[in-house]
Amino acid sequence: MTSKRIKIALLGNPNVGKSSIFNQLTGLRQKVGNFPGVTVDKKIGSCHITNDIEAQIIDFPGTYSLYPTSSDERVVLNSFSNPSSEDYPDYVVYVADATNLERHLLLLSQVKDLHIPVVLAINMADLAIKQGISIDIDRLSEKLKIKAIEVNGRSGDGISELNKSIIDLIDGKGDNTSHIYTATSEEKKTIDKIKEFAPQKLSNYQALLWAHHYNELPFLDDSQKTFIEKITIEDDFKNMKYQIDETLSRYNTLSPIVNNSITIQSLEGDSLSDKIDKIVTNKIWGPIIFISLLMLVFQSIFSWASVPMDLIDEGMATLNEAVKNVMPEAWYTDLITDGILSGLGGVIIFVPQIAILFFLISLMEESGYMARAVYMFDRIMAKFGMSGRSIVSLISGGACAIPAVMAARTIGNWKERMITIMVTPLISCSARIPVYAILVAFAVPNTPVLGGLLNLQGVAFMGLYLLGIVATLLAGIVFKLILKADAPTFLAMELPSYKMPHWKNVGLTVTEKVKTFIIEAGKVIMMVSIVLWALASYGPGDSIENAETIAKQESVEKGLTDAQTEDYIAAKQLEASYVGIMGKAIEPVFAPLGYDWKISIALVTSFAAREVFVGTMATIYSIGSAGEDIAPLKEKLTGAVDPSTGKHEFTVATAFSLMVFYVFAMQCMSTLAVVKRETKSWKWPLIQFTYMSLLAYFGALFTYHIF
Amino acid sequence: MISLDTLPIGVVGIISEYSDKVVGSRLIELGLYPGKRIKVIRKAPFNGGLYVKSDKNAFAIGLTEAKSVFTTTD
Repeated sequence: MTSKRIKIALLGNPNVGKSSIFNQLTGLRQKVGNFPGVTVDKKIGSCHITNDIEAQIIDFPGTYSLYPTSSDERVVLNSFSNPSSEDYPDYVVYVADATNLERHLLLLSQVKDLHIPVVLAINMADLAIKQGISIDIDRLSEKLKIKAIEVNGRSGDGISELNKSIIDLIDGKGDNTSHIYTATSEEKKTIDKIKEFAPQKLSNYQALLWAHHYNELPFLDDSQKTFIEKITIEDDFKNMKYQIDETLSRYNTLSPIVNNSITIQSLEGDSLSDKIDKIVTNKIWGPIIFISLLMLVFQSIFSWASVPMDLIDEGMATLNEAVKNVMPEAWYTDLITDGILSGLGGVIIFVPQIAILFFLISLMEESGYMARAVYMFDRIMAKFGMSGRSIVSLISGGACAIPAVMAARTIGNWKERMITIMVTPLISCSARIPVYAILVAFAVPNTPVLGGLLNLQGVAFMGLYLLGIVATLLAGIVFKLILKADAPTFLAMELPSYKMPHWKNVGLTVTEKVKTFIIEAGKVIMMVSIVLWALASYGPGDSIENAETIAKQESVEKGLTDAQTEDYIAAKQLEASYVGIMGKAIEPVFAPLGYDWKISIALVTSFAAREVFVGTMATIYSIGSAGEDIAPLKEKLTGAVDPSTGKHEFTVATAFSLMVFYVFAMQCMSTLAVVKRETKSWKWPLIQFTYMSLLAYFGALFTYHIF
Repeated sequence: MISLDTLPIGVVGIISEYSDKVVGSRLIELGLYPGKRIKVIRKAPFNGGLYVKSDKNAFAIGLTEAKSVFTTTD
């Protein structure tokens, strides 16, 4: 027996529990791919329908109809209106919500008119029963001429029956000739012309969809678009009117079918969701509850995640030491320890934050709470070109931009999502704290203000955070003006009833996010860290060896201790390395900001991650062994005098200039790697790096000259 | 006929027409088509959108968007 591969589309409205059913059907046999040409994730899973039939299941984005209003929805139209598309399904499993059948059947009726064999899976029947709704499944099946099955995505009930009806469809037992909407005679004129013109065989409804959407269908070339445009003008094709008439006509057919197949024993009083919403969306309590929840999210990725992060840090350091002890002293040992293992540590270190953030976010999404947050904050965020959901990213960005940028994925509108991704790294993340700490300690006196309530250093810290927030919002406004929208932004959405989160879905979301980060962003982070390691460890010719010999001689002359000698050698070696050379080469560029070659070197190394700045400065000032204690570095900076000019190398103006530089600068390769992964092109991380660097440069220049 | 944003809280209105194509078609997709009964339950903080109910379902509609939806009252 030859085995057969078929393509099944999983389709339905948003919030219908589609992903639970997808998870039930495919388990862990899932991967995330791309829909062609767009930044919408395509989740594909595989399962065996029978021993010899393997199905590829494509989880399409939640959609209300084939008249798209977002890039997510456009994916569905593009695949379903083009029989030659690689994603055009052989069969459709349509998931509908038992508590709101009428609306959910709208898209189903459109799919049926495409003449793709379809089976209807009715989800959340248990919830419907609680609401007093009972459904006569057989009657519904008969009227719609579509096999309907009750399923439960959470428990898995009905999944095997669903499987059976897919087999029936494959055996040709489904009806795929009847339709629900009959085109009017005016529409029919245009349909016939398009069908005659189309290079592939279209159903009537596909031809009608071409007439409505030809301008946005990526598979049509310009001459085809012009031709269809000509037809629609000739026939006076009334886009909006026909769309509304068609939709209303569908409801006219569907409403009686639904009314005849369900009985509602109306339960009096407010539902649980209504009671919860009375408090949770209250004008005063709503925002307070939301902000408190976000503070909890912030706290968890800022401080709770630090426990596993420290463990990873120590674990990697121990492993590093162990490898160094076991392997011979050679360049390849250094490559493995300081290059590869450090790079790997730099990737894994983010896993706790990503896992915790996505655990909390999927709780908010799954329970239905996120929709309420959007309802409350959409208007404010719209002023800055973002969506209500963007707040989650912005607050998370205070801990780390990497999970925050990944969290922007749930923003449906492309423009709002892009703006959120582009501005989030301006929020001061935890990696900036060590940099701010040394600079503030150096430049700001520890004097009490406001009668001892605060001290001046605390105020300076707060100022830096505020500067970041203001920059974030202003950048949002600027991007809002620059970026072209691919779909209109508007707020008209369902507020789903509250549900217990489905733990399996939560678990799968967290796993998927962590996996994607490690595999896709991890590659870039590893590569950049190996390159940076090589640049910092090697110099042209034997310059590194020479630097060591000279440093040793000088140490003897100066009478330094062993530890001091080692620090001194490290400083001289770094100076002689390629990074040192780069630092000296870019010094003229940064001189107007008050930075000498030593700071310039630290700017180069801290491209890996901002906190590296402190370590590099310590190495260059020959106190690399001081570890995390900032007092010796502060002392060194205060005492550092340029021997040729006799002036202080590091002034208060330099410190403030650096602070502003680090508020704005995109000094984090890991964030850039994630932005590349999330936007699926190098264009956006490049734009982000450029605009933030320019902002940092000129912000720092301005600051240096006012002090 | 009054626009949805001016429908008093708690009063049942019947959707009659839309003046914005995108908002109108999305509302129809959501099941809020002409003839449906709709009630404003509350308004969002900071002059935000409306929390409305129709049948047993709850929806959020932005303030600007609500200005393009017209209803009649009994």
